[in-house]
Amino acid sequence: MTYGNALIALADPTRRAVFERLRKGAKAVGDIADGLPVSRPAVSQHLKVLKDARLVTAYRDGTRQFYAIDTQGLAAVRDYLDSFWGDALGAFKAYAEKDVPKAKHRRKARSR
Amino acid sequence: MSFDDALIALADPTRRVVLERLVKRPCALVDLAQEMLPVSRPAVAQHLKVLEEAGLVTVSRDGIRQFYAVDMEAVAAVREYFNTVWSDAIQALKAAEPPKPPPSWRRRF
Repeated sequence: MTYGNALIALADPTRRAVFERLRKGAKAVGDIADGLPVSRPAVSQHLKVLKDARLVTAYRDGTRQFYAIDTQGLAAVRDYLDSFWGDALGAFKAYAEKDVPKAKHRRKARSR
Repeated sequence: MSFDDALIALADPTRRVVLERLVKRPCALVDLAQEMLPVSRPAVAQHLKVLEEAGLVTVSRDGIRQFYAVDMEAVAAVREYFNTVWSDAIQALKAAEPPKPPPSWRRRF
């Protein structure tokens, strides 16, 4: 259930700001921290939580560590929210099928 | 309602169960609390309050009973956020791939 950890990770506004710094492409920790009102170690800690929640991936290029958005993990959260539509439509279908005969029955009862 | 509140509301697993339950059928607190056992009724009421304040759940009154339902537009807004970031990240990945040299390039130089 990766989407659960992802939703917990993104509930923190600062962590979300760190995450959103990566939406236009991979960045090194220093570049992610630039312009954010948090220390570099704090940014590293947020990145670790995001990585554990499968929202970001890390890779090394020479001596520099880069972070990028994990599109698969992110898609899992989107798919979870998409499942709400299936459930809502299923409920509507069940309701419509169940209530048609009931409605007829009520009309008959009233005319008597 | 703010986007922050919606994400905080969705971060709690019990609140997500409440939401998943309500999307199947709008429900009164009494019936919902019964289904949510062993979670206590006051706890369910508190979760509903958080979901309502975050705009994810709407309340309607039928006689003396209050019915809770999922606001699908609010869920759609959260879904849209994730989809937009996903789509930006995919574009960034494509842009970062180095352009492939034409097949004749290696042979000529």
